[in-house]
Amino acid sequence: MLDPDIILDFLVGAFQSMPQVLLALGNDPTQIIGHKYLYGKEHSLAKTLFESSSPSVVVAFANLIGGNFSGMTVNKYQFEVYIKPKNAAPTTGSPAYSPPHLWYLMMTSPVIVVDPLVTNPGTLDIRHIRLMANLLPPDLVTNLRHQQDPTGADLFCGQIQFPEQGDN
Amino acid sequence: MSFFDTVSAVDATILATFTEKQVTIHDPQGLALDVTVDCIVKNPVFEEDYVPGSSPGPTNLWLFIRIDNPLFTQYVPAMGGGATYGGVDYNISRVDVDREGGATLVLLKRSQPWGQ
Repeated sequence: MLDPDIILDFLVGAFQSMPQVLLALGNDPTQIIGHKYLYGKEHSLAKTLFESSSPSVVVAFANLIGGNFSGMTVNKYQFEVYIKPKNAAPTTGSPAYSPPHLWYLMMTSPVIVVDPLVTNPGTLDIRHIRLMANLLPPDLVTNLRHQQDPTGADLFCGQIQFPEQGDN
Repeated sequence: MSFFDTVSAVDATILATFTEKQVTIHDPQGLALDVTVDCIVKNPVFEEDYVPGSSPGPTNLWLFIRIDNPLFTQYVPAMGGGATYGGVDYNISRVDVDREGGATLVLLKRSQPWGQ
């Protein structure tokens, strides 16, 4: 079994290493944040999402799914990626990207940052690379669904899950 | 001042009395000049950890203004526009207008300054 918080750190680092994704977020890697459930109600996921500015990406661990998936997979770590879109105004400045397009960029851009124990040619996207030793590439099937925050603004939630190799 | 004149001046009087900081509305097209008006901070859906008007300020900020303010000559605050309150730049997510010319601006903090 692996530590979901460590996988989260590598996932956030992977997204932060994508130049096109950063461009959509104003070249500010601090707008891609990982939410860890450290402080209970004092800092819940709902509060983090409510307090995330525009544009921003919040990555949070969602589920540890156990099962008999294949001869070498018994655990899958599921993460949710919340995307708040950038406002199109003003007409000057960096362009706005729709959240679906940003999710596409996140899934198809080459990943630079992974576990040093893993071979990384720097040309593979996140769906075809291992972020950590003992972690397989994520399931090719991902999800992206629309929802709204408490103020009625658009919010998109992407889901990606990583199978663990074996059970340590 | 007659009673009726007093009543008609209630909005302006309350705004002038309870405005701590004014809000600056930006033209979404970036062409016209900014407009600065009085405003009152309202309670949002959830309260946050920062005082409105401070730095970095809350992410969600709800302001009451007079949308029929005569200063709005070339544009009025609208969804998708921008505003600055206490030195912090916000996007205008929603404008809820009442029948008497008052409006609530629902603001969401921008990650980058207005114009970037």
